[in-house]
Amino acid sequence: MRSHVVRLLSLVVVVASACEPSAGSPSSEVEGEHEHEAASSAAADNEVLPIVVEGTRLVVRKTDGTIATETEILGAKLVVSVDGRAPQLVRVDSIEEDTKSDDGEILLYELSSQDATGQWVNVCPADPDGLQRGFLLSGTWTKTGEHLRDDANIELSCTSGAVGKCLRMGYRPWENDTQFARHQACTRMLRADYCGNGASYTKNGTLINVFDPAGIQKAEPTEDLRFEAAWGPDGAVCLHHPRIPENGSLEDIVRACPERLTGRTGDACTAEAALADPKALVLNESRMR
Amino acid sequence: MIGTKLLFIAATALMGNVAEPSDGLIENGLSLNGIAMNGINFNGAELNGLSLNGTKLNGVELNGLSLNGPVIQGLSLNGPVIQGLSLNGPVIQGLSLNGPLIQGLSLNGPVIQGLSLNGSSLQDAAPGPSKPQEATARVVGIILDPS
Repeated sequence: MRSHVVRLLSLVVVVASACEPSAGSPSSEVEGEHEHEAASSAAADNEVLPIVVEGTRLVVRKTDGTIATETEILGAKLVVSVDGRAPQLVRVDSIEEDTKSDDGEILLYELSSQDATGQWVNVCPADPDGLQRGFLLSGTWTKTGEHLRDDANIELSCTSGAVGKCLRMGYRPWENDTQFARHQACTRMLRADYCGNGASYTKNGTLINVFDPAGIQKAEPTEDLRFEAAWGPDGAVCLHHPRIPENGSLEDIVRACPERLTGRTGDACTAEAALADPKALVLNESRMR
Repeated sequence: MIGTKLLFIAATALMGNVAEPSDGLIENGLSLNGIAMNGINFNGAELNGLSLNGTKLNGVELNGLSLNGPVIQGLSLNGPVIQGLSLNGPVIQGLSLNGPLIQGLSLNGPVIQGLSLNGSSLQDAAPGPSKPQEATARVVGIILDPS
């Protein structure tokens, strides 16, 4: 596999220049609203260029019409608005192909922003493998966990989140409609969002085993895990047992969305039947408690 | 109206009065500096655009409180009950939470520094479904490094 991990060698230089307030460099003293002022100031002094993403690849067209190279993107600062707040600057420190991807199509970005002391710190929390990487994906995520197509909107996600985990499992929403739906179904599954309304019935750190009828994630035998549910883009297609019973029993969950799950729980929900159901795009196992 | 209700509460607390309930309070653009509040109940309150510096809340019961940055700094929360607390940065610094019960705590960075949690009982989530706390980070554009 082609590997082109490119670390930002000029990190020290960049931090040093950032410590001296100058055109285009945020002050080391900035924090809170001052940081936002710095973001606005930097944006005023250095032109904010629009971006597009192709899959997870960041494409920047420069003012002269040419496309920025990867070297030019390294060290560049993304202008990011978190939860609608004033924009802040997020620096691109490295770009690398995902080692879990066999075709090099998924790029992971090391991203950092300045903390209150002026230090650049990784913006992504560590995932279960300790990896702190982010990536860019087009579309909008609603409060109910729905992924809406929108090429004009690009969002940052981290490998530690459901969106990132599903992408790295091989569910790539940009490939075709089915993959878009599989990715959406996968995020519902990881969050145990049985009703497809954004309510999560799991908790962080819960082990599950994922597989699907297309064989992107293959069913592998597990000792302690039992089939839990089959999933579509709008939530569970059927539910054998709840992942975390303390967060909701079968009865609680059916009560929350009877139109979806009545008559489709317990022994009425099997992996064999789900694999033959075209509405079931991904399936999972979890520990029965 | 900016912060009048909460500031009133702070004033009464400083005078030694306690347990003024603040259910469903929404405050915007509030700044609290070096204020000590004792014996206060906050239930389902939401504070936006908040700057907390060196603030102490003692003997409080905090339920479903949401604090949204930009800067939450040197904040000390002392139980007995801290429940369903959500702190949203970008900068959360020098935060100290002292139980005995801290439950359903959610901290969203990107910067969380100097965090201290002390409780005889720390529980990561209250029973029942929850809303995922993944922030939406929209990329507006990019500034190429001129160097």
